Amino acid sequence: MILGDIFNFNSTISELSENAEAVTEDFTWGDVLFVILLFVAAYILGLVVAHFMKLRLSHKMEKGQLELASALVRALIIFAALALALPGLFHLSMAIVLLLVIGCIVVIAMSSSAVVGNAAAGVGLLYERTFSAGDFIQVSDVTGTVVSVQLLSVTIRTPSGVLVRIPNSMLYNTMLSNFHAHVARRYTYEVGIRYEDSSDRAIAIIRTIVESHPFVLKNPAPETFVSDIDPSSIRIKCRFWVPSIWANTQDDLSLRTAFLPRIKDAFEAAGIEIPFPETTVRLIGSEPESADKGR
Amino acid sequence: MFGCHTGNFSYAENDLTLTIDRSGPVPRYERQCGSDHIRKILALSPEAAITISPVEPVNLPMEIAHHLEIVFPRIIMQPGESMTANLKFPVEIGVFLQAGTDTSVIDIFSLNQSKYSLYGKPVTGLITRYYESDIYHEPPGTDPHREGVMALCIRNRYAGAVEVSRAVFDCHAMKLFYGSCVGMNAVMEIMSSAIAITSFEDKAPAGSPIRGIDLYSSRKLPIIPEQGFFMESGVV
Repeated sequence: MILGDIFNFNSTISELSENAEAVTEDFTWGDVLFVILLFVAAYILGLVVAHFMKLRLSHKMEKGQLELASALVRALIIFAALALALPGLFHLSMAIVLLLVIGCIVVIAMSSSAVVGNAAAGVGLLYERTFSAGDFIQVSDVTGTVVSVQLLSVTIRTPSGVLVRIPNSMLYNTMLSNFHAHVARRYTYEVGIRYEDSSDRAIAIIRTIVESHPFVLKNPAPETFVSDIDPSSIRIKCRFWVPSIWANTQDDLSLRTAFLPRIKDAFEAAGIEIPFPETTVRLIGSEPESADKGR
Repeated sequence: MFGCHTGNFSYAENDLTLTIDRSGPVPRYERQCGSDHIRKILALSPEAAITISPVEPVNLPMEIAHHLEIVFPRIIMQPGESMTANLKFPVEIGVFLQAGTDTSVIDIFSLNQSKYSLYGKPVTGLITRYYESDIYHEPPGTDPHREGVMALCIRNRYAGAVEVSRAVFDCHAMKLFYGSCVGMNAVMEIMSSAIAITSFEDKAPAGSPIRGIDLYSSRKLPIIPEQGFFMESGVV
């Protein structure tokens, strides 16, 4: 019956014109008051439902996701209330209401596809639960702590104190790294020493420095080893794990300064040098001047 | 040093100097621990007491863990066997302002170097305050400002022999006592070769008759008391 009405455009247009006349005749302030009261009731109901969701779901969902979900539910309740009230106020049939809703959706989608896309991406992020407020994430070249997760965007505070707003559609369509998802993170540093220096001694020095740091985890144990022998140096790699919650309070620079200067100073004290890249060029026919120390 | 102080108080040892001076016009609290120095002005009523007590050792240098992991030499336990192992654990010291029923934290410090570890896997595990201890059949002598003694009763409820070399405890439920030494009683029930339950007993050990202040209670954190910590990532 309703579908029949929808596709019967002649009757709906005539119905609209009839309704317009009816509205001007039958429109009362009581109807307006009813709509306002319904709107207020829907708003209060939304608050109550949001509070109920907070009570029942706070231990199951992250704070940001819960806020996003409750905002969605509140918006739906208010939308439903308006959908109930407006037809009565303007004396419209359900067919007309459906037509208006579809028309509104089409207009909104065409005029603000980015907004709709962001909202859809927000729902997708809510479902996936890839990150939440407080997590330390990287999106493209932006790294920082998530301040809030909203329906249309996510706000991030970078370690340098800049607030960055990222649209949800961008987050949804790009690679995202969450450094807070697991309790521990692994860091890798690499240094080079001269060929004539003892790699065992250098490894022992690095190991002592790394293991003495309180936030370098005892288990999994740090690993220090010769990783490569390049044309000008012996490369020594050190891998160790730190608590994510601590690492997220540091930026990469401060993490590096926690270890590399100490390693350099300890190397210098032990007579181990970090070499610079060098290349020996010999002209054809010329004799080498001296031995090249085994290189 | 531990205890309730209502007047002036001063303590000094090698790396630690602590002063509570209430005689001057501006009462003050001052503490030097290694290179770490703190000075606070105290606005106190005459009846306010300052209590120095051992606290759960998971606060310094940063509060990132709530569990204490003690690693000790391997013990092989037959089915149904039980034994009491005395283990050392690190001590952190809390300074509290007590007025009536209200307790507030003034300072927390430690003479120990902290070390952390991961119990379990990076995905599902947890960060623990790490400490290594020998096993002592009798309570060992310790510096109470640095180490305490835990009497750990290990019971093997599993049907087979089990090797055990670590115990992880939830510090929210820790019950510390002090006196001539710092101590606590704990229980470790081994349920299988990889699972155990650890808990604390609210019972004063010998030489430590005074109950320490629970830091989590004094911070008024809503902690739900649990029956024990479920060690499901292994006991070795």
